[in-house]
Amino acid sequence: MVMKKFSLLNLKLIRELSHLKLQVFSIAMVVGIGVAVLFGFTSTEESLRKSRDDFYKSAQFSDLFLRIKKAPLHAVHGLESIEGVTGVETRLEYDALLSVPDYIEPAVGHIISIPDGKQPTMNQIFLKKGRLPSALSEEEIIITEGFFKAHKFELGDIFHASLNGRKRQLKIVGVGVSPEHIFSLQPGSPLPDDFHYTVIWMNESALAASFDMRSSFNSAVLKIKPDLLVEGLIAKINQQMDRFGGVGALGRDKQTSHVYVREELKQLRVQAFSIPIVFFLVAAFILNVVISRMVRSQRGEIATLKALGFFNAEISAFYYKVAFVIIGLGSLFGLMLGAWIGSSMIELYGDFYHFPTLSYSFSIKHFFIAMGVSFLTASIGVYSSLRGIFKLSPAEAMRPPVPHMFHKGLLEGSGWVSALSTRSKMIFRGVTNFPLKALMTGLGLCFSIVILVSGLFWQDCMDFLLLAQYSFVQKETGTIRMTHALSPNSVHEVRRLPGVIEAEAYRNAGVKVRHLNQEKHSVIKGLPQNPRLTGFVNRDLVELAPPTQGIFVSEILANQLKVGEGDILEVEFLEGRKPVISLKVERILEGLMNVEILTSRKILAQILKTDDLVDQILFRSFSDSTLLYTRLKQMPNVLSVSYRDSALKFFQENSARFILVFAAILSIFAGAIGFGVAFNSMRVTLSERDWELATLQILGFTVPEVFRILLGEVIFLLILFIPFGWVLGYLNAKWLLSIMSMDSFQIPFIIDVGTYFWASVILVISTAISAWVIYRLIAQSDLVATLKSRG
Amino acid sequence: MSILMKAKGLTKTYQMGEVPVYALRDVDIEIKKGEFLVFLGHSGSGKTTLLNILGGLDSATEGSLLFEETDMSELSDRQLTQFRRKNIGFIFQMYNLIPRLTARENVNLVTEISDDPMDSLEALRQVGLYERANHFPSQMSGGEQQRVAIARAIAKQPRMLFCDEPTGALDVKTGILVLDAIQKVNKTLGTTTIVISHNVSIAEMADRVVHLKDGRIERIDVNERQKTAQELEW
Repeated sequence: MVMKKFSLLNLKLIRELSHLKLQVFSIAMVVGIGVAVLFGFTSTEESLRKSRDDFYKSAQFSDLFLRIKKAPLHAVHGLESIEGVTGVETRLEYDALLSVPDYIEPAVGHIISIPDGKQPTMNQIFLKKGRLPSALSEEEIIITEGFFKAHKFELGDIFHASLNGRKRQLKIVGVGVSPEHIFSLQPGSPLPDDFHYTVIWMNESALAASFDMRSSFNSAVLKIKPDLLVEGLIAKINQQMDRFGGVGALGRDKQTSHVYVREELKQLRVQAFSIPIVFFLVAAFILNVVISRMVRSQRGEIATLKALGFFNAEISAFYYKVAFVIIGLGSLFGLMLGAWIGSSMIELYGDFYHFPTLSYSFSIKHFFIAMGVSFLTASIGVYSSLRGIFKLSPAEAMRPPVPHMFHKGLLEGSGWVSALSTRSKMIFRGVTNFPLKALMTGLGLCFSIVILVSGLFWQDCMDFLLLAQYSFVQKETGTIRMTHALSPNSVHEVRRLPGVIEAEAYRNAGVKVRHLNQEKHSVIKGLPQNPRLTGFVNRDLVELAPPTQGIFVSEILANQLKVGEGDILEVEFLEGRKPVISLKVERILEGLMNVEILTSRKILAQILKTDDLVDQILFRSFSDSTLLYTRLKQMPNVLSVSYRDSALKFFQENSARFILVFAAILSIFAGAIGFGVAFNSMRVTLSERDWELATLQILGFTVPEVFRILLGEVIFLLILFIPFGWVLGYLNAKWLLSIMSMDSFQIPFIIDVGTYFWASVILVISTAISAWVIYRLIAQSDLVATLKSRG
Repeated sequence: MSILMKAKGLTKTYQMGEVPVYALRDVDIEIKKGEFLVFLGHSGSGKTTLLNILGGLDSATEGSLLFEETDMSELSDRQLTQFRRKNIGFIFQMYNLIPRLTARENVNLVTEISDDPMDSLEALRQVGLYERANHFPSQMSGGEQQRVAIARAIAKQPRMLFCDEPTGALDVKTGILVLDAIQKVNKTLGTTTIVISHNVSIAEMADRVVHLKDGRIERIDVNERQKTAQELEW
């Protein structure tokens, strides 16, 4: 008997599923995408995290980073004696101007010393190619993979560097990556630039000789006991090392590369859970619509089964099975798509994050999480459909359900509804008489807009940021950093260089700023009088006057310090006599990518009690600057040169690819939601009202006229809910931005009108596709058969 | 009376697996303008199939059907829809009203797509439902709903009225009210009317009674005197 029941219901299951082909497909697609994003993103995050943690462990990534001006080697004993410090390694770190053959623009190398011919004990280099410099070599170096590839170098190739004003030949013997530079960024530049920046590892003796640093160090990395409060240790270290100048010690939590990787992982984790929620909600809703419809139409059958002695559990098991088969198909598709998304993302990450090996892997845990969530979705969808039917006795369930009592909607009192045509009234009441169904369908539809707005607004933010930064704030062609502070007259030397149109001199000073109980490391930039190459704009891109008496603070720093315009900041300078002074915040600057404080050069000189000095020159030059770059490479006081446009170009090329792929994938995802919701809503309406629609055709309505009534309800919902989707999209995007905000880099919240427009267009297109399928179904329907089915 | 519709050799077969099943065999009939016809027969006799073909809802497998000069077998789906829209009013056993529209709106539905409709309230007045114009079907009795369906059918002033078991779901008293309304339409508007039924009593209203059996016309009776609906009993 049990076997008989089982096979009877299984046969019914197969029949139902083949009958619901298109609906099965559309639900499976929505579930599949939810699973794909959940699985793809969590496994990508896991792969990246694992790669990072493995690398940190195997390469002995340090916990603390110390930068000083110059300390004797014996000062290391002081550091070692601090309780909690388990290891100290001293080294030298310098920036140098590089001259690459066949490449006109000068590049910058950040040189880090390694024990002669040996791996350092901390932050060891993973060699992707070649070898370590030999112990006695003065010219052999290791460079980063990005720079190596950008310039199409081969091992053994040679380029030149200006070390302490002297030109030195360097020979590439290895290509490597260290845990300190997984994300490689030139200090002061917000974006990576593989053409103009590299980390260089070379023998300590060779570097020390060039900078006259034998038996001294200007950098150290430290290992500490686990679970120790870093802040306390940093205070002790700084107390000891303050006399040697420099910016002091930083924890791993402030180390640039670590921060970028950490933030990326955080973003992935947030996306992995925030995006699929929408898909699972929509899938649960559509499943509920479809199963509810099935249950309603099979009310008599269910009653008969109950009368025959089937238990509620057996009957529900059937509907759960229908849902689980659909969800199972979707999950399988999702897992495959997720694995593809994950491996593609890992490949894209490889361009920005340099790991020894970055391979895609996933654990069985993610597989089960994704499957589990999708089956939970199905259970919710089915449970809510079945609740009502089991409350009825078999006899009651065998009678047809009480027909819906239609009434005039609330809005019909206003008069404008009575002015509508009869067909429009049908559409109107079809929506207003079933408010819950309309609300759920409308929400389902507008979720596709939410997905798109939340995905595409990043591009708007970046566009605004780049526009503000590169058209209104940074008006220079390039920036020259000097080896040390010089007289303002040095700007004349730059102005005289061939191709230079104008040049301005700036002064930078490292500071610690405090407000209330917040403290941050930053840089104060002293501006010349009436700067022309640095602009100030507010959020509406209106130009502002430069600071006069006080300071301008970038919005990101102001937020971190919780400081507003008119507040007083305590500023501790990290050079000279390290003066501590209170400065008034004149203005908060929006749209700045860096953590920055701006004031006038004059004020800076007054505070530091020095002459007016400069250490940075901004210049604007003609586009063909071959001669200019050649001369810059020869200038002894030039420490580095950076180019506004090349960093921008690198970023745009890479991010454009990323964003394009992301936008395309999101559009397909959002389209799937739009299709799934619109199709199932119309399909269910069609099957529930087929009799009514057939009657209309018999009365003389053409297929397009009948179809327009059905479509009208969806269009009505679209018009009603698209603006709601915009609002939800706006709120969701704002929330995403807030949970993904980074300490060092703030993205302004901007959503362009075009984003709302495209999101709406994609929803309309996906609805149109589902409408077309429905139109075909109506056109192919047999009127007489439909009428007979109920007559 | 001139001929409005002429069917010759109408045959309808359905394929059930490998066996053809005849729903209609070689039916010849001429329908005159303004005539009141009743198709009588048991279930499976072919009366609904014949009505569907005559009303442009279905097409015959063989035979010809002329509506005045138009050969209906030549018409496309779209043209058949136009034909129904312009010429035919339907009344069904289950009324087939649109539940979300009031009585008046159900009638308006048809008047909005017709060339020369009567006022929807006038149509409802003719079936005695002027006062119930703003009620939804769910607020009306079966008889009232059927009369709304009649109002809807006649509002476009059709050339022909097809009624498929119009009293099938109604009690005697209500059924008579409905038949009365149909008869009035036939007499006052001169609309050619075909009622199909298995109720022999209804046949007494007709000018002619077409007896169908096994898909064939068994015989056609002519009533010398047509009873009014009020005179009927069953």
